[in-house]
Formats: sequence, structure tokens, C-alpha cells
Amino acid sequence: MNVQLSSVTRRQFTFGISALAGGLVAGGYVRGQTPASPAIASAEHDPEITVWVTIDPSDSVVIRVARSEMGQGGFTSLPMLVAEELECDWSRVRPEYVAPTENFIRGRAWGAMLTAGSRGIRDSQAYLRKAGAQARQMLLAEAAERWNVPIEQCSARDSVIAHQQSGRTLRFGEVAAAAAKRPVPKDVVLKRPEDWRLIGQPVKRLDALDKVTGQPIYASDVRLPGMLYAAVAACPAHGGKAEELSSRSNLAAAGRQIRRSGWGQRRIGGRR
Amino acid sequence: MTDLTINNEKHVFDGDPDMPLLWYLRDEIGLTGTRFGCGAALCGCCTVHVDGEAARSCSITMGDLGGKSIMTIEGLGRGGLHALQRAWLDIDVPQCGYCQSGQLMQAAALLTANADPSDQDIDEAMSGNICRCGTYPRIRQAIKQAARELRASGQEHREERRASAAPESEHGTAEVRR
Repeated sequence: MNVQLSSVTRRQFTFGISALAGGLVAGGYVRGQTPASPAIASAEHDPEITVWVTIDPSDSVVIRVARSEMGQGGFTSLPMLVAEELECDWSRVRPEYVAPTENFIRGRAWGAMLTAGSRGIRDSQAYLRKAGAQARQMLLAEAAERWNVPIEQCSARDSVIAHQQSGRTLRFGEVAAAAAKRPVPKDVVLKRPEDWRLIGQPVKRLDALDKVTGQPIYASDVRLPGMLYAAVAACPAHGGKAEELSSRSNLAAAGRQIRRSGWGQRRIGGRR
Repeated sequence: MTDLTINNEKHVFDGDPDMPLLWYLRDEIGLTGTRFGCGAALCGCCTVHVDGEAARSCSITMGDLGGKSIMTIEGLGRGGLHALQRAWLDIDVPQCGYCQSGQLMQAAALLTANADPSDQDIDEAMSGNICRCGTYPRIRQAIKQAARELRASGQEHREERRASAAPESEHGTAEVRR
């Protein structure tokens, strides 16, 4: 995916670029991209069932990921936790990163975004499973209301809601827009671990194609208008302080801005 | 002034001839699929093909590339995934993925030179490509799988050509694009 950042909307910038991954997580806020409104669910986005899940009319499911993929597979395994409870068709799931900016704007809706200490799954599994169950419950409630039947008689599997007694079915995509307007239920019952169908199963990594085709998924692949490059010029001797930058160095020759930081090092930045 | 070909497109470079190819690829023409690893030809992360052979783009300067043909990871997958990329997906090789462009380009050069590499051939050819995640066993497995596929499709191709006597069949050549 090759996206010109200058031409995309804030929303696409925020959620549409799974490619930016580490870059967004590390870099975060981009000047000039200040949102007009903190609301995010809008016409330009597929219905947001909860902050974690959007479903489009053709049953494509986007599950948001608020932790960084660094090789351990979180970009795949974290969505699995949501999908397990959501009961959606895993083959139609696409993960997307949450931008830290958006998390601030929306009152830490996605919780902690730290990725460290082997805690990605441990620290988020409870609320991700809950998020999936909440979204499923909203979809079921919408279907039950349309059929005028008790919600307890409805169940979901592989993105299809079924009413056992009548045999009627509705696809997630058919009720998603309306379900998104329903209140998010506070209390939901989670599946028992012995009933899990996805969690614990070996699945293919969802970002493997990007990684074997050289897509721009790393921080150093990000290109923004007017972007500055930075380099640290440390003293080559331990404990020393960098005093001068050789006038023959490429950076000095290019007339780049040179700023001194408080650490006895120089930060060098230049406009391309 | 340097004329060169990158992924089958002609480029004319008239900048500093000391600029490393990697800088030109990433910063000048936006081909960021080739990653910067060490900048000193020690890790293999930035591997591309120069006239079909694996080379470290961080340590080749633009001035030395006159008339050369470069292929990057973006070119390897052009017009359909390479057999190696398919095997990589099938075996789920990448973890963090950062070194994988270089791994794939190195492996592609190996298979061009050796259609049936042994474990030792693979280890020798790939020894300069470092993977901190440690995906080496899967890389080796994927190279063997791709090699089998390429040999099988080559065989099929030859048989088809004999059977149909068609001078240039497109079928079966999709994996070998260069």
C-alpha cells in the first residue's frame, strides 16, 4: 500500500494506514492534522460497532489494534481475541492500527498503547474479548428487534446471525449500521475457554503479505510533506562531548539545521 | 550522469556519484521496500539484484551503476508473487519482517544460480543475511519449497512446449521474471 499522506483525510490517515504501524506509534501526532471534531463515527467510515470493530455492508470486519507489532504476532493475535467473541468470519478480518493521537482525543478509548514486557496479550485479553462480545451483543440485539424475538433465541457464527426457532438469518453487514447506533452493553458474558474456536489455533499472520512484498510498514518508510530528517552526532569517545561537526561532513555541507540538545550531543535536522 | 535500469524502468541519475544505491532507492525514488540495516554491508538487509546478482545496496555507489540493471523487492513481486514470496507466505516466514526483503532477494539470486540447493548451499548463500528474529529454519524450508515449485513448473513448461510445439508459451514462466 502506497499512500500519499498529503492527500488523505484525517480519518484515513488515522485508521487507513495499517502500513504505518510503528511510525505512527512512535511518531504520533502530525502537525496540521488537527481534527475538526473529536467524533469519529461518521459517514466516511464504516459503522463503528464499538471503538474496536467496524463492519461494512459486505461483512468485511476491521478490528483495531492498539499495540505495536514487533514480530511477536500481536497484529494477528490481538484481533483473534476480539473475533473469538464477535463470532465473525475470520477470513474477512483486517487489522488496523489505532493512532495514539486518536486515543488521546477519545479519552483513551483504546486503553494503554504500550507494547513491552511480553504483556500485549496478557494485559489486553480481558477487554478485547469483552469488546468482541459487546459488538456481537449489539448485532444480535438489532437482529432480534427486527425479527421481534427475544435476543436469547438469537446466535451468531461466522458473521451470520440466526434465529434458531424460525431458521431466519441475517448477515452482520445487514445490521451493522443500525447496530452501531445501539448502546454498548456494559455487562456481557464471555465464552468459556473450552468453547473457543479461534484463540489458541495456529493461524497465518495477517501482515505477512506486506512483509514479503516490501510494503512501507516501518517508521523509516514514512514520508510526510516538509518532513525533517534527524541524526544524532555523538562524540566518538566515551564520556566525551561533541563540540564541532566537521565542515566536510555531508550534513554540514548541505547547510542543514544544527541544534544542540542538553545531552552533550547535537541533533541535526534539515528540510529536504 | 548515470543511466541505469531499476525494475525495468530507465533512470538517469545526475547527482552525487558517491550516493549509495540504497539512498537513491529509498529517498529519491521512494522504493522503501529495500530496508536500511547496518549501512556497512554487514547484515544483508538492503540486498537487491545488480545484473541478476545479489548485492548490498548500502555499499554500492550510484557512480558505479552505469548501464546496470537493478531489481528490488518491488520488482520481484511485479505481475504476481514470486515462487519464493508464495512459499514465504505458505510457511509464514516473517516475524518482524524487517530483514525479509533482503532475505528474499538473496534467495532469489541463489535459485537463479542453483535450481536445487542443498541445506549447505542455502546456508552458504544466505549466511550474510542476518535475521534477529531467527527465522532461519523457515527461510531454509521456504527456499526448498520454492525451488521444488520452480523446478516442477519448469518441467511442466518444457513438456507443454514439446506437446504443443508452441514456440513461446507464457504458461509456467510466471515465476521467473527477469
